[in-house]
Amino acid sequence: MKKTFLLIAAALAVSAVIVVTAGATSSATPGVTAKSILLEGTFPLSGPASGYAPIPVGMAAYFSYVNAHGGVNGRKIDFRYEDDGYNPANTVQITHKFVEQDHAFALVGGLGTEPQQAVRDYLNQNKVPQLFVSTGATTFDRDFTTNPWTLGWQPDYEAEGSIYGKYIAKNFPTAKLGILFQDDDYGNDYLRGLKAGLTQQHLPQIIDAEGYALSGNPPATQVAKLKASGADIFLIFATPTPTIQAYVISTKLGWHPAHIFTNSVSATDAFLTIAKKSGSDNTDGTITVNYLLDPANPLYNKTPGMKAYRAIMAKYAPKANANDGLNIYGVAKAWTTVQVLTAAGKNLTRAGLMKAARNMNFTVKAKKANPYTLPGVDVRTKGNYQFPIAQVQLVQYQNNTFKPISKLINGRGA
Amino acid sequence: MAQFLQTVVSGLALGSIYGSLALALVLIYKATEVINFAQGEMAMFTTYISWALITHHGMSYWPAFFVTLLIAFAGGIGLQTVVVRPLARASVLTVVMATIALLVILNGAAAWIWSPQLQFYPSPFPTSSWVIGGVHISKQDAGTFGVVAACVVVLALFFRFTKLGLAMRAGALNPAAARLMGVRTSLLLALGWGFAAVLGAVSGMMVAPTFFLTPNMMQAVLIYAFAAAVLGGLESPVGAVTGGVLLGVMLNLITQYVTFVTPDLQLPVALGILLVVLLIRPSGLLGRAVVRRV
Repeated sequence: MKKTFLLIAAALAVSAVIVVTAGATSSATPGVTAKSILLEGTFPLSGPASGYAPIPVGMAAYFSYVNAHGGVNGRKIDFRYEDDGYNPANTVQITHKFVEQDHAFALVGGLGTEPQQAVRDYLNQNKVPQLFVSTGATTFDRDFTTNPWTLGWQPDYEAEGSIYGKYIAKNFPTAKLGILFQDDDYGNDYLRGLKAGLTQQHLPQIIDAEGYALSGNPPATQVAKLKASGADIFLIFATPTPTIQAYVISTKLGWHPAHIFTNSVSATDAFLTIAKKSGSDNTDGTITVNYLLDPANPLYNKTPGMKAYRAIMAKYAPKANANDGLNIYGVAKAWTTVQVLTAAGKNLTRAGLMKAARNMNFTVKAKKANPYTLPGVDVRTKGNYQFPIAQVQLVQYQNNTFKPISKLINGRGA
Repeated sequence: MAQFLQTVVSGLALGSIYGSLALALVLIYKATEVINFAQGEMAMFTTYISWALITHHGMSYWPAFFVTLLIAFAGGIGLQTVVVRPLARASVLTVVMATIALLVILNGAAAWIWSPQLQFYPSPFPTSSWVIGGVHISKQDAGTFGVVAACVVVLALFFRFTKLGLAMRAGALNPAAARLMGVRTSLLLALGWGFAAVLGAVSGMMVAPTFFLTPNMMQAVLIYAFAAAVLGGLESPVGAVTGGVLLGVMLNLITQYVTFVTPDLQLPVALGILLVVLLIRPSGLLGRAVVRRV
């Protein structure tokens, strides 16, 4: 009896393999069948950046929602993501598997500057779309001529840094700036942007900039140095864990800078709450930027986007914490993905997808704005302009919510 | 001067964290002559248990703390019985490989059970600081330091003055002779793992308020803890904590005052120090030289 069962199981497995391979070969484009589109991505579900783990959860929830409503041009999206632990070596390995074994149609949302840089050449050589990477490193948008298969999505870090610079030059023209930054492309993008935004005239306002490595030790010496420098504006360009530590350490040192600017990646309600609970009294007043609807802020509860978001999360990711803004980041990104897939048409090819991604016009004017971004934010690419989102609003953290303190500002000129 | 002292103080805080985990490494080494690579993950896992007790089961901090220590003790004995004891006759290398496997399994299990997201972990100590001569001393750091120091004292007394402690040392140094003298070595090895798991749990619960709770919280700490344990001498609990504190303070001073040592170079510098110490004193600062007849 047992033997028969095993035989049947084996036969079933073999026929399943045959069916799957048959399905894959019947279509010219890898990862696309008559009924499905395979999208994959690497995310840090563990490791130093595992704070971003909700992003693919939000994306998956939105794709499930779309699938339940007929999919894209009749095809269901099969979205799979794997943990690279924010370690580029793992990213390379998993990405090869995605492309060579799974035959993914496109990679979507892959997270992290260094992890995604590690696979960029490989994906471009193999002409596999590396779409909407979850990093604001400027190179993913700016260097599209050398990397035609790669595109970012969120406002790039340089643009964000320049907005802080412009704001400080205008509102605090005599303040002394102390900066804590992650000493890699990520932190340096911000630093470069900040300097550009300050302009030559205000550059001397930076009196100290301290780098740290993502090696695990809290940035205690760096924060102590910044305090000793006499800075009265503290800028944190760091990933979440060191950011929270910087808040706690500054409080322990009795340092209360007049203003703290924290990059949007780390200044989320979830992270600032952990900093506050861990004893920091410096979180209130934090200034950062935002471009998405903020689930933690009741201000947006009545918007259609927020209502849709809540419904989608409740149905397709009921275990997730929908108040964590990283989920809506995932949903908003998945929305854009679905739009480009739709625009690429019924006859789906990788080149067609890239063409659609290079010519996005999801704008207020076109009446096709992303419902999950702040009202007025455009997602736009065309020709030599490949910075999908460039508008942000400065917001200030007060009583567990972010209060808008400026209009939308475009970090890319205009 | 205040800047210098502040650097030393924050180094002490960091060092006591390294020392706390180094202590657990030393304990297992003393009891079993094996380096346990899973020590950090065991600590992390038990810290998650305490976190679950506090956040999901409504316990207050100290009851959760002590319940966790009991669970850790039982868990340590359980791991030894299930994973390590069957390898009793295998080489040390095999046992080490088994602990590496445990490391990976515990890490994955924690992420699977509790999700890999960063979590807040409460500290039993107030978050405020004392200010003495312009130097800020965090009460939390001081508390961690005190707890670790207390562990060292208890452990040193235990190994020196209790029959069980003496028997454990004997069992590790010369299992055959100890067995002939009527010492139940297998029981002692299990107890050794139990106690090390308890120390690990203490370490994890001291680390979590500063590094925040994630499944990978202890991995960076573990590397420094190894360095600390070897620096102080793998045999000596006092040495482990001294090694940890020295390492913490030295690293802080070096990054502060030696300009070419960028933050990227902290770990290489730590390991460089380790290498130099081992070249000069192979048994560590406070370890005994071991003479073996071959």
